[in-house]
Amino acid sequence: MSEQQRIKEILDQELNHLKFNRQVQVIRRTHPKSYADWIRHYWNKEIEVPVIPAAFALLLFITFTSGARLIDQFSIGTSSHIASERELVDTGAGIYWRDMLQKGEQEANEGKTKG
Amino acid sequence: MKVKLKVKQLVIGLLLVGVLIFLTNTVIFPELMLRKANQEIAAGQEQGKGRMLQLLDNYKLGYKRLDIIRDYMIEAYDVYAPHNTMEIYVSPAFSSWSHGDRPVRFAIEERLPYLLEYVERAPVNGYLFRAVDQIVRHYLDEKLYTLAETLLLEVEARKRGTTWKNDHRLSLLLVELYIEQGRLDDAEQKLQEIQEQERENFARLKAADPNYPGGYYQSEKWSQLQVEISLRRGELMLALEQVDEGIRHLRAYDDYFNQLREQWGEEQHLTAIRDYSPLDLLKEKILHQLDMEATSRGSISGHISRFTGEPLSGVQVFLRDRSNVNRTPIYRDIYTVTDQNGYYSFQDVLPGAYQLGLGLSLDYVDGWMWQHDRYQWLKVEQQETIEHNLTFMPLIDLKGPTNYDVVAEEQLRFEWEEVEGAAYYGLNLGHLREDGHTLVPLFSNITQPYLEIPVSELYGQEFGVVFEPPIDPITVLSFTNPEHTFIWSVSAYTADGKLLTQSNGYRLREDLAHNLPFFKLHERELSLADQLLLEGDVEQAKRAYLLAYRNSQDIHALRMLTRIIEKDTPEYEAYLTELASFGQSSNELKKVLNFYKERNDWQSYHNWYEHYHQYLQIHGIAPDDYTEITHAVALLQQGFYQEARSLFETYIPRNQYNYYASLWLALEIYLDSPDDLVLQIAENYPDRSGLTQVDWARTTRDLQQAVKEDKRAQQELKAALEVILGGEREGDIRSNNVYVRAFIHAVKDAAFR
Repeated sequence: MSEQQRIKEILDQELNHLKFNRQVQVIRRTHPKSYADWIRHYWNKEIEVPVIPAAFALLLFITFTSGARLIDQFSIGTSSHIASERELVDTGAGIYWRDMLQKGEQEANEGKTKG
Repeated sequence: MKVKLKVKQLVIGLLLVGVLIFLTNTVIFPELMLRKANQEIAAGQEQGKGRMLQLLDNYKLGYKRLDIIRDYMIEAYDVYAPHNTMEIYVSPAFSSWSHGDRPVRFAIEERLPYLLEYVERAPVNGYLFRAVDQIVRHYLDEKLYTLAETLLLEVEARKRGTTWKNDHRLSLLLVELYIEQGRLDDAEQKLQEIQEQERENFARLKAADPNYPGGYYQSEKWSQLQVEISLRRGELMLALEQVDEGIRHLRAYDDYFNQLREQWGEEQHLTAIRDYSPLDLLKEKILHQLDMEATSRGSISGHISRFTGEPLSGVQVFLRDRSNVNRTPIYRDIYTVTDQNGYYSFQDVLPGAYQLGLGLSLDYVDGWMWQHDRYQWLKVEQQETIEHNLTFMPLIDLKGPTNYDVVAEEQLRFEWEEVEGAAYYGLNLGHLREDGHTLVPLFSNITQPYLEIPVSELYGQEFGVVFEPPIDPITVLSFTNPEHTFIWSVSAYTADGKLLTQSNGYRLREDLAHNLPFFKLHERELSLADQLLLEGDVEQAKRAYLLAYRNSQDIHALRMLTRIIEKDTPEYEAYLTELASFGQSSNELKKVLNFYKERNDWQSYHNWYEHYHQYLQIHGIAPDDYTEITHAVALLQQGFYQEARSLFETYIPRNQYNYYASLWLALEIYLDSPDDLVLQIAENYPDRSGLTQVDWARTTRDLQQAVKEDKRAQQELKAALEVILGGEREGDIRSNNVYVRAFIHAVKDAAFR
């Protein structure tokens, strides 16, 4: 008994309790003949996709369709936003921005401690 | 790196990504865009406007669309506009700015397409009316009368059969439109229609409830328009009848509401709905026109520029009268905008007295002040063009003490930049509290750009009068508190008392804010008694001051005693004179003067008046107008008419307040001065101290005419004047002549209030 035959016997034994009963479908898939068969064939066809280029392409696509605009919506202007939050204070002897008054007071205090 | 996939997995995956992108673009993206535009608009960022317009133009937005238009294009545009598109509003009466957040506003041209869309698609509601109102006002400005009329008629037809059918604001707007077009008959007919409808409503209510009070409803606006039609037709007497009828309706309605409020037990202060309505003012104007036999109108025009000659364009100029001068403008108030060269003009102005208010951006006032006089009114007469130019003057720069300088010496020197053309300066001092500030004019008639005074002069000054109880320790201590930060400002005046410029104003640029007007006084330290006072233990503090004064002649303790003990005790007089005799502060000498003046103790009064002037001379302080004018009043009471007259002549024209000018007027009449001279005083120096506003020129003219031929009235007038000049407050005026009674009454009200 050749080696090949021996292996076949072992295989036959091991697969003895399994039964193929959809040979027709399988053959149709592997060797498609009709139009529907062709579609099914390609629908289930396995392909290999290179992860990095594909992800890059997808990202590019999303960016062009709406991503950039989305990011734009999320970012709120910073510098001018703070400027508009400045508050006016009427000291009676002049109307100033609150932050300038605070700065002036701070500088005066620092000057005093130094002196 | 590669992954193995089936084609179907790949396709479904890509489809999912596609759906996600679609949803993002149609739902999530507009939502985020709205949110961001909202944030930007609220934060005052201009780009928010563009984003909002882009959103409305590119997306349908479903049911939300009308809400967005309502919130961003209609709401807030009729209540605050137009001045709210500007950063600040200034008027002779007051100035105000939008606090911190200055939301971005859309111009009417930007809003118009959306307002029209709202009107077309939204159901009849209050916002729809407001949108129509805003559109029509724009059409009126652009003289697009047909468009305005079509829109108004269309919406009027739509509101019939809805719950809004009794809302007449758009019908009244239609009346305004007709009046502006000169279609007075159409306007009148429309008014009658409204009245008819209100009568029917009233009849229905009365039928349902026989106790339903009052008459049919006639709104203030309705009456105003009715009167306006009559005025345009030159029917002054009819206008007067109509305005009276309007006022009657208004009062009846107010009374009815007040009754309801009382029933509901609301707070009393809410009951006064209207003290002074535009109708009252309209009536005054009609009376004035009848008086002058005037049938046409006048105009006001002028130029707004900086002191340097640079014209200020795009400034909103508001025409204010007494009924609205003390509030910020609302949407329907009359206004115009200066052109490129800074010119403005108001045509067709009803004869009367006006002031101007300005809406402008902060850049225009930063470092500048607008010369204004809150007592100055522009008097418009028929067929007369009043020219009124406004000049923005640079603010005065302070040299010192500034930036929290600590003054520990016995002398204090205030110094500022000299102002060209200034005859006098006034110095105001006060202090900064956490919840605000106090600033009092303390020194006036300063001829140099500085004032040097002993610190004790300030110690003797007070922020205000202490009414007891409770005693406010901060006010009692005033400038003697070394822990406080004091503020100061300077005003410059021309020789005739007109405000030229001041240091006090908007200082927002860094270079304008480098000299903060704050300083501290560290010449003395808080005593134990001061600390007790600050802790609120007034009784203990009083004992401690008394002890300090008795044991060590502590002047500060004596000073505090005069401020906290009761004023009608014998000790008060003793402490007051004791303190004044130290010659520490002009204010303390003035208090003694006042004390003896009130008691008619003329000997002591004159004695102290001399002391007071000696003190001023020693310290180089100029006498202030008020004290000298009250001295004149004291002299009048003792019969020294000529001396009093000369003081009045010197000091009353020097300031804008004209205190006791009514007594000056009375004195000149009593002394038989020529009528022209008397009338001049009445016109130029109207006393404004009285409770009621008096037209002194008119009252005086009436008096002069009334007594000219009437010997008896002349005698009665003389007798009454003598009593008043003598300082007698009580007693009846014995005269049958109404003009004599009116004049004497007005003088009493102004001089003895």
